[in-house]
Amino acid sequence: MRASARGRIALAGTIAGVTALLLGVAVLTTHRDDGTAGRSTAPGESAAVSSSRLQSDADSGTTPSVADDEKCDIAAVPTLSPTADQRSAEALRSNPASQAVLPGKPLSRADAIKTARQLASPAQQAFASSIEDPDLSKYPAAATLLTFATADRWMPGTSEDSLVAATRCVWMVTVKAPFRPRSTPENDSTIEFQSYTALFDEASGDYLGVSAGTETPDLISGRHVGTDN
Amino acid sequence: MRRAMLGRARIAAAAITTTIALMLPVAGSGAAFADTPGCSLNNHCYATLRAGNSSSTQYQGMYGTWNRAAMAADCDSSHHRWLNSEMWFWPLGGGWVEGGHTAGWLDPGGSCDYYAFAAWMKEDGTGYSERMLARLDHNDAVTDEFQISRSSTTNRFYIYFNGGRVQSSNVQFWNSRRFQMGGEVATSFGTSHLFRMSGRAINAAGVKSLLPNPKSTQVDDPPLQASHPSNSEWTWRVRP
Repeated sequence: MRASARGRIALAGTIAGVTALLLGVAVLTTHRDDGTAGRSTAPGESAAVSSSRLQSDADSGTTPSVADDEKCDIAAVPTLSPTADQRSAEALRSNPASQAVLPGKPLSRADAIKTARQLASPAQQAFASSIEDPDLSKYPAAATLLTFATADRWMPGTSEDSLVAATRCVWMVTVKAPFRPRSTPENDSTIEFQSYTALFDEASGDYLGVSAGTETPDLISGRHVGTDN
Repeated sequence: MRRAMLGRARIAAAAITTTIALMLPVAGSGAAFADTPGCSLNNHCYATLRAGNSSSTQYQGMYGTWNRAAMAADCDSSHHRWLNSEMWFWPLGGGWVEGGHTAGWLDPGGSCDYYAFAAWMKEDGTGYSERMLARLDHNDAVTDEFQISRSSTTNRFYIYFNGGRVQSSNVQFWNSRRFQMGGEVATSFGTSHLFRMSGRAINAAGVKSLLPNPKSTQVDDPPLQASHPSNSEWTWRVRP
């Protein structure tokens, strides 16, 4: 790293810091809300999930084509096969979606939707351009609570020897917004989809995956919902 | 009067200096150094070993091992920065299957950690999926194994990570003559230790062989360093 470049960036950082001071604490608070809402404090949540609690937030999106599966278990933990690799066993211990007891509040429906919208390519473009957070609430979204096994069956592909238990409660969220793959072999970002569906662990809020395009279940239109992929 | 004004100016300057000093830790990402300048979400940098052949020989998968080296992207919920150390099985017609480590922004909730992940794109570009396989603690001394190989269903691949696996959906291909492995950086604030990668092609008999015709065609992204010590070996890192 060249020293002059470091200097310029450090100066830019200083200016950014002063600007942040002038803008006030509200800016920082907003960012914190975006990043960690629904995951702080309140240990010892009950394993039973009531849909009324999950519906309590402001933006719960459009009505999903499938009702919540109340039989899912927010605290279910996976069991690795006795022959599982030692490294998988270690990963199990550090994986939030593999843990029964978590320190934070479960991810609410509204926060699952809010989080899923962060995957939209307009959000990526805004952050890449260093402009302010775009208004993502305009993109229709729907969320349903399912067991991981059901969600995994409906999504393209199949998890095997997963670190997430089959009966674990996960949010499936469909967002009708432009979406581009994150990683590409050739930096080819020209492929864009018009909607996508993401999975999140309810207990920890952890991201589990995303799919877009043909075969992807769409909770807004009902297309490919209930289909084994 | 003039002395009083100078005094006030000094006090004001001291106050500004103190303010700046107090703000620097808060500035966080703003005060960080751009270790990978020129790399961004819109312009990914690569340090990759490509391999493949133009003959009719087709392969059925790819195997790779490399250390779980430290890397970081100065990421938070408002800065979707990330970098990968990964491999792609990548047919000429389009689409791909990939697996590897990623650090930084993967979880849209803003947890910027270190993960193993898998992803695939259909050959005609009509479907894409990404799966988080495990959240990990980076550890340069640990070597992880990834493998992309045929499942029992046509045009679907297993993507293995240390014995665990996901099965892709139908990607519309079951062979490839093209391979790629190395680093992909989507941030100007990336850092990493050295990744020591070893790749193999999996042939029709299921045998792992050296990568065919390896070429280090993308080592010139300035913030990245790479070397090709032998046929199927590759090292890369963010330039220190």
